[in-house]
Parts: sequence; structure tokens; C-alpha cells
Amino acid sequence: MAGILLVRLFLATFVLGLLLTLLAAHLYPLPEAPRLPSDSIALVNGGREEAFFIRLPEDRLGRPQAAAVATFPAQSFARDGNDQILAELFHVRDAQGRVIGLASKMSGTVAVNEVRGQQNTDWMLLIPSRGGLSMSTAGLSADKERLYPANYLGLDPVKSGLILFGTDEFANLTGFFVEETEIDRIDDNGQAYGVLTLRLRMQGNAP
Amino acid sequence: MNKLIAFIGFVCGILTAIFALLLNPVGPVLISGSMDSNSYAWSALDFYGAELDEVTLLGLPLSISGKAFADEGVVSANASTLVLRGADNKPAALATRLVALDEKGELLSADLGVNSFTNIFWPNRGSLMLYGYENRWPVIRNNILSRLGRVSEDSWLVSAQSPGNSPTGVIGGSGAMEGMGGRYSETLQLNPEGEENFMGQLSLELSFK
Repeated sequence: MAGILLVRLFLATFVLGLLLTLLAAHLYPLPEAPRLPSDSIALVNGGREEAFFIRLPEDRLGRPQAAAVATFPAQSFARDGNDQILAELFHVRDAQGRVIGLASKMSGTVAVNEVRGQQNTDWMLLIPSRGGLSMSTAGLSADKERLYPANYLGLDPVKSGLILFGTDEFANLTGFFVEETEIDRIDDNGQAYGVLTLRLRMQGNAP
Repeated sequence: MNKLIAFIGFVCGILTAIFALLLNPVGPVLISGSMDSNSYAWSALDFYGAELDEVTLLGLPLSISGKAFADEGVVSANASTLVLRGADNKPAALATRLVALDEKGELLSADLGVNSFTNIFWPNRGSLMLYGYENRWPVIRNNILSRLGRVSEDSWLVSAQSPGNSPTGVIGGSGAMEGMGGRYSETLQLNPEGEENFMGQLSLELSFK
């Protein structure tokens, strides 16, 4: 009789331990990125503008990686020598100077057709608490037509482009970005000091 | 005697639950590459930020990998530059990747993941931009089991359906890949040359408009 009671006690506490552990796993507080407020400005057309800042050189992560340093197959390169791809990684700051995210910039020549190339710059912006954005000067969203917002006209096509995709807070937004570089000085080693600003104009929710 | 039996029962219950969680076969829907996909092996040229291992993903009060950024806003994120190699093992493309912790994970469903943004540039051809969700639970499970002396795996399919059901895959492109869509699948491997960085296999399936 005592043996049966002990077995029951074992089983009851076993099930209790099992259930409490599963409950703890369900309720376990997974980490969250700190919520940082947006500095966006409302525009009269219903859209919003937000600027992100990169201080040069302190926000650059490492040295820019150029594809030319790798032994890429020769046939992949343009005959005119425009064969370099530049890959850069940065910290991104808000208007208050806080580091709020990461950015990557890749630029290089892409093919327009078999004989002609075109300069393209892709930007990716990731703000852990708010989501990510992909942008490009010459790129196009998957399965979408190229539609330029009216106020995009007249901007430098090398320093501006369309927002292709966004997640979370930036999901389903359309719009464009402009890259502005303000160089204060260049030292004896050729190192530039200044601020690179990514200014985004985003509009409504597109399907 | 009763207290001892109760204690043993309780501890056995906890251990059984932990093993059930570790070996949980239920998880998010995985996205695997098909026979038609183009595969590239990638390795990191540069890597900055948190490793996004079990310490970071579970928010354990242990020291995060020494490379993690000090700034609070990016402490659970990383950035890297990658070289992609084709079937002939020669460099075919250069890529950048930004990764951050996803906050919609759920321990009970073996789903602890990261959001990954990748930009691939093929010299003088075009570029592709990818967005994906990677469930890192298989990697975490492997790390824990290998510390317990169990046999460990050496590669993990991590591409999975996003818990928020956000569309994942190829999100855009330029040049020869302008406007292309499609999907991709990612398999991670430990880098034998460095304990901290992963290597991987990226399988791309592109679709035209």
C-alpha cells in the first residue's frame, strides 16, 4: 500500500515538474530590441520623411570590401574595366546621434543589356526595433512595375532611388531615398570626415 | 522518504520536459532548396556584431559574444560581408548581410529566429535583394546537445516561414535580375577555420515577371 502511494506521489510530482517547465518555456520572456522613437516628419501630401545619419569615418564597420580583391572569373567583368563592386557596412544614427541600426551599401556596374552597363547602388537599412528597408538606385521590386513618385523627379539618379521592400514598421511602404554626403575635411591619408545622410520619403500603404 | 520521492519525481519531470523541448519535432515550416535551384557556398570576409547564439537568442544573463555592438539599439544584430562561390568553387558574387533577432519566437514551438537581409552583387551582371527568416533553434539544440556529449550535426537548414507570415524570398533586383522574384533557402555550417563564424549554402530559385 505504501509502495503504491509512493508511486502515485512520484507520478504526481513528475507531471507537476513537466507541466511547470512547459509553462515556464511558454512564458519565458524572450529578449526584445529597445524601442526607439521615430524622428519622422509628416508631409503635407500625407507621407512622411525621415533621415538617418552615418558619421564618417567612425560609423564605418571595417574597410570597404571591393570585389576586385577576390579572384572573380574574368568573364564576369566588363571589358571597359568597370568591374569593381564596393560593399560597405555602417552604423546608423538618428537625429539625436544615437546608434539605432545598421546599414549596408553595395555599388557597382550592372548589365542593362549584353553590351551596356549601368551604375547601381543598393542600400539595406536594419533598425532592430522597427524593421528593415531595402532600396536601390537602379533596382526594381520583385513582380512590380517601376513607379516613380511625383516629387522624385529631378533628383540625381546616382544618389537617389526607390524603396523596394520593408518589414514591420516599414512594411508596404512606397517612396524613395536620397543620399546626401557632406564632407568636412580629408586628412593626409585620404580619409574623409563628414556625415552621410539617407533621407527617406515614404508614402501610405501599398499592396 | 516522501519528500525525497517527491523531489526525484519533480526533477525527473523537469528533465523530461527539457529533453522534450530540445527534441521537439514540431517547428516552423522549413523552406528547402529544390533540384532546380542555383547553389552558392558562402563564407564571411568580415563579421561585426552579436553571434546570435543561444545566449543572445534566449537573452541569458551571460556575457554576449565579445564582438557584440556596445550600443543598445544594435546589441542583438550583426552585419557581414560575404563571398559566394559557385559550383566550381570560384568566387561568383559579393554580398552583404544584416541580421537581427526576431521577437516573435516561441520556445514551446522550437522557434527562435532571426530576420536576415541579404544583398548579392554579381560583377557586371546585376544584384539581388533577399529577405528571410531563419529559425536558429536547430543550431541552439545542437550546441546544447554537443555540450551534453551527444552526437552533433554539422549543418542545419534554417530558412523557415516567418512567424509573422511576412513574405520572404527574393524581394527585388537590378541589372540582369531587375524585377525578379523567387525564393531562397539557407543552410548553415560551422566554419572550421573560426569558431565564431558560420559558413553556409544559399540555394536560389528565381522567377521572372
